[in-house]
Amino acid sequence: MLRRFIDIQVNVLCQDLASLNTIVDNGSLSPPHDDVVRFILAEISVMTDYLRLAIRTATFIFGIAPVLRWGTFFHRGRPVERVRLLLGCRSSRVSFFRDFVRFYENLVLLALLSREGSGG
Amino acid sequence: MTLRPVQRAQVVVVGSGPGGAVTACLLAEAGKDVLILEEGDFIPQESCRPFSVEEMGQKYRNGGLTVALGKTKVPYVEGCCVGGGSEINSGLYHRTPPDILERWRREFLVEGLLEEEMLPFFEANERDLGVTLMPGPASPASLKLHAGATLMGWRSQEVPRWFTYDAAGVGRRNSMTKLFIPRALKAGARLMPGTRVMNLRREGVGWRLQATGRNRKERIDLRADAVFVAGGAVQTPALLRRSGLAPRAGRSFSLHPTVKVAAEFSEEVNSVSAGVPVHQVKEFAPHYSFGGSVSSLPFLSLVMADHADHLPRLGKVWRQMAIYYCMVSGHMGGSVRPLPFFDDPLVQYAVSDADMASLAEGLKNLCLLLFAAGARMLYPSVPGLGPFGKREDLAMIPQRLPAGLANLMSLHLFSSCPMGENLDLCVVDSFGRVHGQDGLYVADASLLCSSPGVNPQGSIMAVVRRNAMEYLERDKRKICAN
Repeated sequence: MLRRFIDIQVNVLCQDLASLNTIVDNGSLSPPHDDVVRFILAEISVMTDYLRLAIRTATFIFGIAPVLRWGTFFHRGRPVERVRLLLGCRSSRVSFFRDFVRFYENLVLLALLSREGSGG
Repeated sequence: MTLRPVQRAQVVVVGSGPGGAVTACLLAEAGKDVLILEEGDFIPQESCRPFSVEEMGQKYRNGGLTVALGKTKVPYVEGCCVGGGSEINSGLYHRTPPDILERWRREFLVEGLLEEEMLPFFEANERDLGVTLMPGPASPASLKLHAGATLMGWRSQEVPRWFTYDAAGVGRRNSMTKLFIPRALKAGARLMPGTRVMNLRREGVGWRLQATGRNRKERIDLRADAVFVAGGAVQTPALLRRSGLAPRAGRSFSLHPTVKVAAEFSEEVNSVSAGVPVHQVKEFAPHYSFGGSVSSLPFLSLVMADHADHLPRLGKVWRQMAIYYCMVSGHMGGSVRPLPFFDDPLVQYAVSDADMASLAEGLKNLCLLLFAAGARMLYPSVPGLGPFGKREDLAMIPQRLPAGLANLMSLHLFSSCPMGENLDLCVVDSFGRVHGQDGLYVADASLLCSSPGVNPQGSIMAVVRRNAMEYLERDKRKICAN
């Protein structure tokens, strides 16, 4: 149940980050981004075990924290609100938020730009 | 969990990277009954494109998501497959600089480490590996680094690689799965991939190893007269500490902290097939040196993510861009230790203020070089710093890179079980035997006493070759004496 909730947050978070990064405009980076999400979930499942626990805990907190402001979980927030939150975290002065978004964004970029036809 | 019958061997080698593969090969060819245990799988070199996301999943430990924790986190990568690091690295080769050998001899009291004593081992490895320069011109990105250094009046050189080139000049890395592992198997060694050693303990005059098989569903018991641990600078001390055999292991872990900069030129310097640049600038060695990295679009995007406003341009300009690095020697500021309740060891590294100052100075000089080479824009992997469009912008680089902010990384890990007779500093003796433990040896990057200041694989292979020959010599003497 908890694991499923975290995987849903990862899914929505990565889909949003993928849509933010339109680096190549030949259509190769267009949605759906299920392949990107699959890659990231696979990476998380094999990463160093204590870091895996930390990233899953952080993702869980990231998923429930918007309840205070939006009245609902991150994955149920409006797309525009979610993107605003991600951009805020990306440039936050608090390293925890920056590192959290950077972790997912790096993996999204790696997977997205490794796609056939992206040029890389 | 199923239990396999007990396996026996004269010598068990734990790990099949450059240290383990060379050791296993030489011992097997000398007639020893050798069993090689490797945690990862046997994956042919051609199974995926080098430096791709597929390779991360197949051959990197923990999918490439490994980090040395500290105020400034340092991500690093290790191989986890048959052949270890040699299957995923760039194949650049250096001998250990003579001044470094001398320092190890003097401070760590390592015997048999004079330059002339090491020379035969370097030469033998170079012959076996086919260490050679490129048959044709280097890549445009590599030549840019060389041209910039030449214009600055700095020492730059093409670094040889353990590559075999076909008639068209296309190179193939002579990794361990191409060379020493097949040789070891031909000489009678056995290989067990997918086997993780959990514990080592003394039993009579030999050693007992407890391991788990594929997916940790099998328990494997092994017995050996001698054990060579060659799991790399992280896994080796973790295993020794888990087994309670060397309390000092892992306490002097070190790495080469590295900062990157993406350079944008007016002309094309990059392509889908561009490999790793082969030139390196050693003008400021041993403090720091410059080189080039894999600059595929995915990797470029990681550096450019520090400059998010410029990221959208990447698709249009990536062929005009390449990644360069400044690597500092580092100090022994790290540790590796097992954590209760977790399988993976905790790796920590404190990047010192001196390292941060060297990185800042090195970054500035690297940027000067790249401007001299014709770069029109430079993007350092330090959020909030740059990009730089002209030389005057480099005044923005602080005296020290900001701790906790710079995105550093490292590809070279070492020194977690230094060799030598200085018992205050060393975990193993001059020839790799764990102090106080007969028949237990270390044979990997852990042995290096401190930073070699260059790509360490040449040093590792020379030291383990020397140690394997010494082991065989002592063994022969023991047999004759009996």
